[in-house]
Amino acid sequence: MPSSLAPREDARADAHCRALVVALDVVPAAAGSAYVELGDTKASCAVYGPRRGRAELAGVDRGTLDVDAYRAPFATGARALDGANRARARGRGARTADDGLARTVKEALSASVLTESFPKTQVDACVTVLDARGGEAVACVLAASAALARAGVACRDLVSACECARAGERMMLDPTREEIETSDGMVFLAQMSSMEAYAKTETFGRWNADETERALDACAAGCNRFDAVLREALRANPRD
Amino acid sequence: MESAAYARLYPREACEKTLASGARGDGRPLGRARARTCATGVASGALGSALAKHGATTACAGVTATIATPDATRPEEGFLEIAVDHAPQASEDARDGRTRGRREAAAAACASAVANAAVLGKDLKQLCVERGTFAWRVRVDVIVLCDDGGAADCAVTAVMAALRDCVLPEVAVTRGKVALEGDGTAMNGDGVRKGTRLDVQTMPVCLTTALYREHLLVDPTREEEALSECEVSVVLTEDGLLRGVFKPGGEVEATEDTLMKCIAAAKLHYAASAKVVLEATEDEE
Repeated sequence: MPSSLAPREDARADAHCRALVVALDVVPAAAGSAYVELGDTKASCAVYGPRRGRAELAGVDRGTLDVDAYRAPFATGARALDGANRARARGRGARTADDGLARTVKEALSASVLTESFPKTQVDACVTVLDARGGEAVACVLAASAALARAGVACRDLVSACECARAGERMMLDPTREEIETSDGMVFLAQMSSMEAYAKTETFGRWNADETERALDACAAGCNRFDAVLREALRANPRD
Repeated sequence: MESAAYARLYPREACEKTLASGARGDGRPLGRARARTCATGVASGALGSALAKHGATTACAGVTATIATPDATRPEEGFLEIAVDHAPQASEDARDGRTRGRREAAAAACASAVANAAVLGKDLKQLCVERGTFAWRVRVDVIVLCDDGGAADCAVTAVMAALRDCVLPEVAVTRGKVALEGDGTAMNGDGVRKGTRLDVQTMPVCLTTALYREHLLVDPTREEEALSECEVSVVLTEDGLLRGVFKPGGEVEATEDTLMKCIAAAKLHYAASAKVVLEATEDEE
């Protein structure tokens, strides 16, 4: 990676991710739940099921995984607004259901969840974003993976995710919201680390093949690090 | 049969067995509320935020504010809005369109409590920026992250802590235009946030009691709420005045005797609950 001239906001190196903190069983009534803090970004997930799902989606030989994403109204950081910005503000009736985020998380998890193990039923992963300071999709995927593992839903592997943003020549791993806003391209990767298989990749902006490969490699390294943290957290708190 | 399986298959019988021994499922006596904890500054995207936990029930409140035009009939007052919502992860049945009744009741109880308690003063004059033209519209959003019974109580705790934690940024009005100095994150030299704190004048505390057969269960858990015939939520402030008594429907009426007992339970638990919020917010001063 090219060496950077200006340090990042929180004095991280370009290839360093933020600290990941995982807490499990935050919702005791759920089959499995996890709360994740990636720097300042906070997300939690509760998995319910397998339970009866919507009739029209019931498959005979496989079940469905449904993801519901809820973004707190104060998560995006529009703390205080003056008159000029009010028109752009998300005021009363702001949509808290975030379908784009739900779709991203679901696509990342679908490669791993073994839906044949719960035919005709549905597993609901409900994800909540409390603080969106960059990397919400990453935090949600990590929380959902940990919650699914806790719930005992059969999966091929733990799914971990990581993002990388490009600003000119510079590639920053696990960017904060401010860094994303000033970037000109971003790559999102969700991978199954033990199998070294990509579950989902998404690129935003113009990328050539070389840059894409470098970015994906960087993201894969980030994913491996997060995967290690998740595994350690799951191992340290065995379910009795 | 395992006790957990028995409780799941025969909830009424399991509940009655435990009540017969004078305690509840989690070992509490009938009249004791769960321990409450509270932490502030949890959401960096809000002017003030708090996370409250009553046992396993968790609620997170965040305060945001916009500059608005005051009402023509009240030119010196601002606005305070409280919205309570349950995240989909909060409970098994938190799917859209199903059993919203209880959740909306909890939301209404919380919002009324804070409104009736006049937490920012009888009128909202402290939110006025310039008489007749600019005033703050303060909005508190509460999300219930885990509903293990008593969501309204937890929401009230979270709202009060978030309001006490809130710092409104400085406002400068020049030539009819308003400009905010910073967005609420600027700090002074000694690490204190710049801006004006809200003058929170009262401390309302809410306590829910469930009625099951002839037993009164203070601060019910989710299983107890599911079995109960009616619930009564009581909101008190430090002067001992009632700010709200809510009984959202239910199968059974609450007699005067029952209501008196619920109010007495709320009075008994007031000091401990208020202390939790005060301690969580006192080191900001």
